[in-house]
Amino acid sequence: MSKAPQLRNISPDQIVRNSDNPRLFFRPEEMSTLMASIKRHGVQVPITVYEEGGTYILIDGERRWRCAGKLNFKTVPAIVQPKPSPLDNLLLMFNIHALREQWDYLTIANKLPLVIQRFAAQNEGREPNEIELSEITGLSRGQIRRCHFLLGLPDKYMEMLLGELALPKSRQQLSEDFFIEMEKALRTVSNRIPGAVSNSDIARDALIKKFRENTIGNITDFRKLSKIATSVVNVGVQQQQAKKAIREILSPSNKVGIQAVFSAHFEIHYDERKLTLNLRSIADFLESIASNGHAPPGEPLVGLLRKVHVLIGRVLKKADEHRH
Amino acid sequence: MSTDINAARKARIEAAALEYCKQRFGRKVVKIGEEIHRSIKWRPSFYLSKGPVIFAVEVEESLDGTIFKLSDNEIRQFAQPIAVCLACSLDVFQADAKQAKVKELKRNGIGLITVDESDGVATQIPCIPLAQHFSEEFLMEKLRDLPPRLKVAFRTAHESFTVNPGPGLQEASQIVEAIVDALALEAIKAGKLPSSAVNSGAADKIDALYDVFKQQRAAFGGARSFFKTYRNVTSHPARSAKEVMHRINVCRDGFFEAVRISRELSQAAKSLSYTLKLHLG
Repeated sequence: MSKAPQLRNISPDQIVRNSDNPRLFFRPEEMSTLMASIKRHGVQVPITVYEEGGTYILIDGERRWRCAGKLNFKTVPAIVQPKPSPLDNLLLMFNIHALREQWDYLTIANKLPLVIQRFAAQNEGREPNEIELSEITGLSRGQIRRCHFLLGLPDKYMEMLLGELALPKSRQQLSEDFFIEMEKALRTVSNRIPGAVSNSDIARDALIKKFRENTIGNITDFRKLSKIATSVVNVGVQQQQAKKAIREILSPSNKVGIQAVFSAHFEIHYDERKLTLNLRSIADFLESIASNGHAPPGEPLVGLLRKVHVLIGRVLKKADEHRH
Repeated sequence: MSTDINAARKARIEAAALEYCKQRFGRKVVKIGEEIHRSIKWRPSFYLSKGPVIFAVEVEESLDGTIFKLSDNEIRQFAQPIAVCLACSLDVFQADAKQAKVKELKRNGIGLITVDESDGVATQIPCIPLAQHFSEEFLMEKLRDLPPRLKVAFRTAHESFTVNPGPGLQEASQIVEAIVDALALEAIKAGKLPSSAVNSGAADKIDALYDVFKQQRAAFGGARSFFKTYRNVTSHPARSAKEVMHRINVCRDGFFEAVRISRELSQAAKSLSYTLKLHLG
């Protein structure tokens, strides 16, 4: 039977970091805030360790341990647990952070393959599916999918992201969300408009450049790039038109942003679709009012209907003129 | 990719900064990642000793001085002078475009060295023992009511004090002496002191002024006490770190006492309607 966890005061010098700790970034600003709190109040929440060969290996609390060492504390309170299995060692860290402050996505993404590998080792080579992965790590399935987008990044962009994440948050330009949204959009474009992306890296470089130059003003603009790609199926835009627009956006040699192209050529189609859906439900409602047995509509609605009636007449007249 | 991403960068900065400090402060006592003393709640990245002074360096990839603020009092109270310094990359230093954080470090007496991409090290803010430091704002507050000429003189003395407290105190004493001389000269002109007093030493002039001006005795008495207390402070070399620390504290007290006495003597001159012609070196 394994020993029950015990609370002890341990010298920070007797503790070593866990090489499995997925955390990649110890941002000085965040550490300073914690250090000030620990200096004032001490380590209020014990760290968690297991004992091995006379030293203690961290399971949880690396930042608290680092602060305590830096503040020259003689001891830190620690819960000493029995040594976990390799998979449990990793999963403990995942679950602790799923309940508390979340790690950066890249931190999680980097360790997911190891979780999958250790799970397979414990389950006769069977890898966990997304639901199982979500259950054992405490991550939502959406979070796991976002991690997969980051894991799929080519090395060059992974390094670029690492460089950004190592900076204080205030100085970061390209976030994890930027890369996730960009990758999602590029995947949609590749799937929906074959041939629109001739070289993914050139496309990525162009989008990064345009984002840095503020030609792309917001990372949510990438969703509009996806909408341009799906416009052929969803709102009946010509494939050639969508392809041309996407190529223009993905070209590094111009200053064409996603929002500008979307507003100029695609937004109206989506607005039309939205209006059509709204009109359809209005028509259904009016039909039910018009039917026998329904109470007459109130004055505010009647007033509004008269106004809309006039406007519809004008729009239809315009459409007829255009047609002839 | 399981370790701290900044760790490799910090290790490079630490190695370059350590080598630089060894060249400047000697290689005799070098401690890496060890405590200076159990009473100081800060374990610097490394520290070195040069004579009685400890140079402690924190390597960090930011200009955040929290750790120094947290241990400021313990360092100042320690029985040995400790100069503290932050080492960071040149990139981090340059990213502070308006120098707000750099100025804050300077205001708090923290030295700063930077390491560039090719491991070139440069001192951006010189490192002095914390006990020897008081900020520009603190000094200006102390000098608030002094005449402009004296403010300038004390600021110059403060610059000397920052480099070496002994000569800094000496310069402050010379300012007090110059006021005493000017007061004595005015008193001779007004016929209150004999003209032979012009050749007397500062102590005799103070005694003479004390005897003549009963209303201003507090100021002259203070000046007499100041010279008695601080005249010989720096004449004997300190033999131990403890003595060095004691001397820094005495010089610091003396410096502020000089400011206070100068203010009182200026007010005494004003009450006598004397216009002082100061001869400051």
